[in-house]
Amino acid sequence: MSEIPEDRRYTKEHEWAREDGGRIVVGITDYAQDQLGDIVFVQLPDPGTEVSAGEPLGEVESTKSVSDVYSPVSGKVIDKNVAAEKNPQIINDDPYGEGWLVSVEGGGEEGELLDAAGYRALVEGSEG
Amino acid sequence: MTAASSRATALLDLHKELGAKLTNFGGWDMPLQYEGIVSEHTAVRTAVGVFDVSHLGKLRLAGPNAADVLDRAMTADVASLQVGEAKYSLVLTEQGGCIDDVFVYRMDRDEWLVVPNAANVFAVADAIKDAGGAPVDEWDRYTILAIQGPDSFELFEKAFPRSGATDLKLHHWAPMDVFGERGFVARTGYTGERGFELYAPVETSAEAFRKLLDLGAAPVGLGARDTLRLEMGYALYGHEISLDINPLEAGLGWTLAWDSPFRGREALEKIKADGPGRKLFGVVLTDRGVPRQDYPVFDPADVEIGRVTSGNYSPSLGTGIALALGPRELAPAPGSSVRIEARGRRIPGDIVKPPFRKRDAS
Repeated sequence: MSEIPEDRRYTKEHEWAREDGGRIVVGITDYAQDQLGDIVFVQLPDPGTEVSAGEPLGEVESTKSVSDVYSPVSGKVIDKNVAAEKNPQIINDDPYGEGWLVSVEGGGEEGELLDAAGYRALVEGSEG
Repeated sequence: MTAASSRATALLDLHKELGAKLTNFGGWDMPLQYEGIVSEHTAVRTAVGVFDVSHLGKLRLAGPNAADVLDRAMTADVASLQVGEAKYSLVLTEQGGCIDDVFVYRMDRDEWLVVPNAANVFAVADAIKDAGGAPVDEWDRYTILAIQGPDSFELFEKAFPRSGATDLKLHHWAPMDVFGERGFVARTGYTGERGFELYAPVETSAEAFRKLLDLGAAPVGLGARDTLRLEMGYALYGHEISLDINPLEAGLGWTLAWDSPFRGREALEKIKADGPGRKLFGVVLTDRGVPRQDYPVFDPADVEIGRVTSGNYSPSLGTGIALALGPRELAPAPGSSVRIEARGRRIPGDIVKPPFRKRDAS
């Protein structure tokens, strides 16, 4: 059963967004990393890049497949997780913590985001 | 023969118990991975792993004309195998395209077992029929367990004391009692490591599988089977070989017994004389990224020189590797630089002659 923390919101494409001091930290969910399997490559946008809600901001690739990462919000990338680029396995190990991907300074606009309960229903629908 | 969709490995419940993610291979639900492809791959390279590869076909061919049939159906000289020996072969069309690659075991004086890929069982059976044979489908008779890795000999002897398996030479097999049922064990594999393939009767194969796990073998899925074979540069049907790719292009000329009357020989003699149209080459990426089938390969002048046939992340090398096929006249020399375009990004790499993982590198 996937872990789904209450302190953040989720996209239907299995990204999470958590507010942290005015920024939005973005990553992929436990369910997403489990479905992907061993992540061996992650491509992230450089700081300064403008991203749009619902549009790809980067990609994660496992031994099995490659997936776009969709931005939960619109805004400007402030920081990216260089450690995750160097050692993508930390996304598998700790998708909600050390394995975060980027932080975005929001322009306010966001995509259709689910709360933990809504996301859990989505995931359980896929698992069931 | 019944439809492939009705087949299931005898170990399906065990795989589920072990938490395997399943994938469909030729109508069979098979384990893609258990713990993870990288750790399973590493287990086979450094210790020992056990794979269920029961989805592979099992076509038995018997009778006094079987040797002549195989001479016509198989590119390799399998008819002259001794009982107890096995050999890799291709099955071709009249035009020299590959219907499949198979392993052929001589089981008895007038009896052979042909092991095709799951997706090609019916096509190989048809090729054998075209050659005048009547293959019997024994797809459900054996569970095939591949026990592979540097510790495979020690493990096998512990699990099946005095079976004689550890005395076998490469590509030899011997009958074996598997918990009271008759099966056989072969010194074959698809990983580049030493090991065995155990043809365990379905009645007792779960017991054999459990025993191997209890003694420390890591369960390994088909995901790692693919990364392991790719590191060795082994061909996979639908990637390096296909109806559209002939053996000379795929670098499999060594499987062709030119003095035997195999189907496709005339076409290949002409291709050999003219020079094959394409050539297979290997690429090791020098920057981060994962090559995938059909990604284009460019030379330093931005000329497309081929397409990836198989690509993945190499757990042993820690970087992306690929086999690629392109026009022979454009084939890059070992050591030269290329770039593989992955989703709009061109990743630099070097041309190498497979295998990507040299055996003495461990």
